[in-house]
Amino acid sequence: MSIPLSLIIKELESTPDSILSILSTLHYDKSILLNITKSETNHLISRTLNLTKSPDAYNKWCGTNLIRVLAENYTILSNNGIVLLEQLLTNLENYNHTIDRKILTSTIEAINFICKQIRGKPTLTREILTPKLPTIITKYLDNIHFNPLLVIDSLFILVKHHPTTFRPFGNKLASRLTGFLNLGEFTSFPEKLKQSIFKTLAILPVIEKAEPEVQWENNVRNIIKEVVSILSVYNEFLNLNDDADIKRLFQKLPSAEIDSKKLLEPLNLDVNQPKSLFQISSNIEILLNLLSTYLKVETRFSVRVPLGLIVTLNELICSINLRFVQFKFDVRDDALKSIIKATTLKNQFNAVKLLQELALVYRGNVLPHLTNILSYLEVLIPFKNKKIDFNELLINEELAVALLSCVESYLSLVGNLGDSSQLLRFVDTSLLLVEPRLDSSLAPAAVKKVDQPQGKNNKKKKNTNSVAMSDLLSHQHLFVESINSGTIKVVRSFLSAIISRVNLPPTQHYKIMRYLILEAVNAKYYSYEKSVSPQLRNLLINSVLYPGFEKVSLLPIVSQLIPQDPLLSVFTNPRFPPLPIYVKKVEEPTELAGFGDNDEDEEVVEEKTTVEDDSEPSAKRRKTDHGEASASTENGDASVIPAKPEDIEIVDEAKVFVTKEVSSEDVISFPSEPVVQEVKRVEVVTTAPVPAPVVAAPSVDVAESAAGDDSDFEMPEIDLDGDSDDDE
Amino acid sequence: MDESVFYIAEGAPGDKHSQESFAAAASSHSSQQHASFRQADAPLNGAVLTGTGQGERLIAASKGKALLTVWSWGKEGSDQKIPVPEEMKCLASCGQPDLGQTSSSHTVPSFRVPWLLAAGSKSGKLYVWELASGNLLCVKDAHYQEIATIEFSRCGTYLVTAGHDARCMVWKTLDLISAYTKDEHATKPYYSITDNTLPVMTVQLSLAGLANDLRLYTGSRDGTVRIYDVATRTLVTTFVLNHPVESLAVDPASRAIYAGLNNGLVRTIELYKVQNSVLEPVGGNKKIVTVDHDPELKHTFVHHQQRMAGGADAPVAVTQVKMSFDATNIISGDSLGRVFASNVVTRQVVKAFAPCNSPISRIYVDTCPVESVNASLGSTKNDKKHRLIPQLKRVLVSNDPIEHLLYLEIPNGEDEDEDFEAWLAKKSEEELEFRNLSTINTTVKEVPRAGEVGELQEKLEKVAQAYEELRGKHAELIEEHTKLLSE
Repeated sequence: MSIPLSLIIKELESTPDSILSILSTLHYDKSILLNITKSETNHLISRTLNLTKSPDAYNKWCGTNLIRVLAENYTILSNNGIVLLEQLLTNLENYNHTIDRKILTSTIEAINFICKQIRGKPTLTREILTPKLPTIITKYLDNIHFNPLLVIDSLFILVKHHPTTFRPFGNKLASRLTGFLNLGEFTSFPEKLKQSIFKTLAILPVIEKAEPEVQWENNVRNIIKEVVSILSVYNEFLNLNDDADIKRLFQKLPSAEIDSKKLLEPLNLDVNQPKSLFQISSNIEILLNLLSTYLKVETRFSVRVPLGLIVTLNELICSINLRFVQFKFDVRDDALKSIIKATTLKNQFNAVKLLQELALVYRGNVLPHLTNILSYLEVLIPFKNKKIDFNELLINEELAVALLSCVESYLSLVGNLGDSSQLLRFVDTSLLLVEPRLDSSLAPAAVKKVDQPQGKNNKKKKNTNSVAMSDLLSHQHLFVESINSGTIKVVRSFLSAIISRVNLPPTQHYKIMRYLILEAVNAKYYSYEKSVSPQLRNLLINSVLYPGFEKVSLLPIVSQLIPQDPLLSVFTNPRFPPLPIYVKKVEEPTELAGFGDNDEDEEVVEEKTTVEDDSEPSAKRRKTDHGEASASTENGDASVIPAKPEDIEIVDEAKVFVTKEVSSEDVISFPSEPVVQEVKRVEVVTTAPVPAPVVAAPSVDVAESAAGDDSDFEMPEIDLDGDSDDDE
Repeated sequence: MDESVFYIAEGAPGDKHSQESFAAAASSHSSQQHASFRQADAPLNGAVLTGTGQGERLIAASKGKALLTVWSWGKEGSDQKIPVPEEMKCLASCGQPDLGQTSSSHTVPSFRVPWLLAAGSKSGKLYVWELASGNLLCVKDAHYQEIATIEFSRCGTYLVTAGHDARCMVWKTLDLISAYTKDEHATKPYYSITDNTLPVMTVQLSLAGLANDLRLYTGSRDGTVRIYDVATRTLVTTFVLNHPVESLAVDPASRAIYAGLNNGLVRTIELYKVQNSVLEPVGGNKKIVTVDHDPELKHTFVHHQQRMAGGADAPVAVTQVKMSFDATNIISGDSLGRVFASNVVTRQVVKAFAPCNSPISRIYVDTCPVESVNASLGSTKNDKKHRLIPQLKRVLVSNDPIEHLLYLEIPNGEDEDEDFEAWLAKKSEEELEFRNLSTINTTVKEVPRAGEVGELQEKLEKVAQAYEELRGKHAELIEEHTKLLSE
């Protein structure tokens, strides 16, 4: 739907009925703004400005969004950009909490969009953006508390693209952001906002005039030091010094000096208020997340990443594990103990997340540490009596899932891992996580307790507040706890990574295969479309591609479960690759070289056969070509086809080789009338390879055409069978 | 899109300081020259080109010196000379491993280096450096004699070395680089191949998405080309040729091998043939296949045998063979310094590149967008400090992981730009918030509150009236007063 310009201008005279159609018209119908006359432009701009200036919220909102769309047009942007931007800035300046929040977001979005349009264009930047940028930054900083997410994201972009202009505001922004970090409620901020704050803090070193990379590295090292000094608090509760490894790690890692400036305010712990201990894990969470953001936010300069230090830091966090470290004697309070345990688990969770980020960004460079990392991740799996502690695992499902996802990322860096012993526990964990879970209240002990008669006297008194729990026994299936879909997803992709990279011992291998066949059959049965989810499909395909120790291939099962999979079809109908071929021209004395090739890249081929005339649309040609190919092959399949005895040998060759993939540009043979024309054109093709480029070496050229030409063109006449017999 | 062919030569023997040598990258489809590197030469297989286009580098081993020289794409002069423990004979680099499905896409940063650099020395030692840190992760006595060539598998999982001691070794990259966790000396080769009797000059690894499909092709001076299955560590096929094999190229779809021989011929070895009217694979099952003499030159490229006018009578060897992107051309270089692109079906020369003065030691073929290879368009914002690669360490990295320090530019993750549709949808939601959807119109009208205001109004009127009266009286009195005064 396109509205004519005159109507738009009329509509904008006062409060428009709906601005959306106007916005989409102006955006999609570029011709409106391209063919606009001078007076119409003035009209449009002044009406837009009027709307934007209006005290009415809806009008203001309409005007602001109109500016955003108008800024898409370069002419308007260069002629009226300053006025539009100034109006938006005035609106931003006058903003206060009594005004609708939508005005603020729209205004900031419009300013961001104008900045984005201008960025990179030198004159516009010089004339419009650079003079206004300090004002924009100040206004953004002033309004940060109204919509922190949007404003901080916008500031991030400004820092990233205009580090020099941003320099005077760097400290102000940094202090504002660290202020957010130190708020008690920071941990409950929405995840997006947290990320955006971290991201902006992490990019700030870019505004440094001299050696931003030094600033970056210092910041990273300071964060690590701060984490280490917070971790040392555990010394007060746990006998960390009993563990030689932890002691060694503490000694190796740098710790912050007492009087050094820290990002976060000092901890304020009180053993009598056990809740205050959660500060440890929340501060570590903030620091580790910030560190992880530092390590993944792009830098415009090369930086020195202390990767070893970070890996060691994570090792330390994972080593503070209550399975191996004892509480000090004076810590007796159970609440205190469980809180300390919870904080260590939380730290481990954050460390595992950081490790995963490392794998995603630094890829190969983390591999020298792989064995080390896997071994300290392995001990995070709760273990009791030589078995995985299922209950403990479920309590910390989040940690277990993060762990699997992290191990998967590391595995995917490796093509093939010979040694599977380090991974067995992870495999067992993953399978346990997707086992059907009964509601914990269904545990025999719990049932017994509730059902037990309280005593003889109470026997007859019916408790009206509680209902009998007979449902537990009669409808047991209703009490099966459903497994988190996130967990299932992670487990499946973990298993997929495992079977494609590791040769598992038969026990684990069969367990996995059993799991996935059962899952697939169930999923298929209960799906109306009779299909399985893409993830499960992927897992099934991997189980065929990587059979492991399996003697019996899963191919028959899997090909029935997902019958229409193109990849499996290659397995069930094995074939050879299509070969380069000659296409025999019977009518013509010369043959042409057919580059029968499965490379889909037609452009390259076209470059090679530049002489070819493209008079016929390629789609049509392909069609005719395909028709021709399938006609000659009878069943256009490229698998091993025994030839019909009546076929002559040359045709037989074509039959075996020509597939659908044969590039149409090269194999041009038409039975119908245009054939003659085509072939004539193609005749040039055969000579084409030689002349033009070879000019550089004339001697070769001559020799080549002398030696090459006739042997070349005679070639196809020699029958192939005889040739292959020779080789036998 | 253009296909760029890079080639470098060994350098004339008398030319001590490589004054006459150059390496070049040129289009295989047009006459365009993409880049050139001055004073660049390298021993056979002794150069690595990290990629094509701005920000990529050429690393070459120096002749007779324990040095590696680094050039940046687009700059003719060399950037860096890096001393290494001993004279290197061959080099190979390995890109970052692919994360597969979990990967998040990053844009290419302006400063980038491959993951690993492997070098084989004259004494048969294998060196592996991590380029981002310069750490020497591994030194290994891999061969008894000079290492002839090193090759990484595309996935980076395996590293293959072949040497003049007629052996060929397959290593697991992970074993070699686990410097922090394992005793380096305990690393054993994954597969040691001792089937050849003369130096193995060339190895190729097939492109395999599945680790189980990986094939290793070796070419040796004893005139054999062998195919091994890497996953099962077995010999699959042996091809026996009439002449020593100097170089190999394998069709990307594994349909044929192109073997460069030391008599100037490039021989096509087909891996599939029509046998009794049925397409069959050649070899397999440890078969030994004799590649026949080819008097009719049906499977042979002869153009390297053509002598240049007035050239010496020394035998010509084909030192390098590579395949083009669409596998319809082979790019081959010979010991006279000539490089040709020739069609695999017609065996005609499609293009001859500007010749070098000495044997071609390395060829790379890469396909890339046209603008990326054009030196003038690329950004050269990187100053020297942010362009040079870290110095390669000459001593083995200590086994303390804490010292692992990377020097790199963190790549930019995907920038999610809000598209207009999404923006419009958001605006439509916002507009809805302005609308009044309820049946009640809540516009506030100023209605006077009857009781109080009316009363006040009445009062006001009364007061005003009284005031008017009072004022009238006052005026009358004043008038009277003035009258009295005047009298």
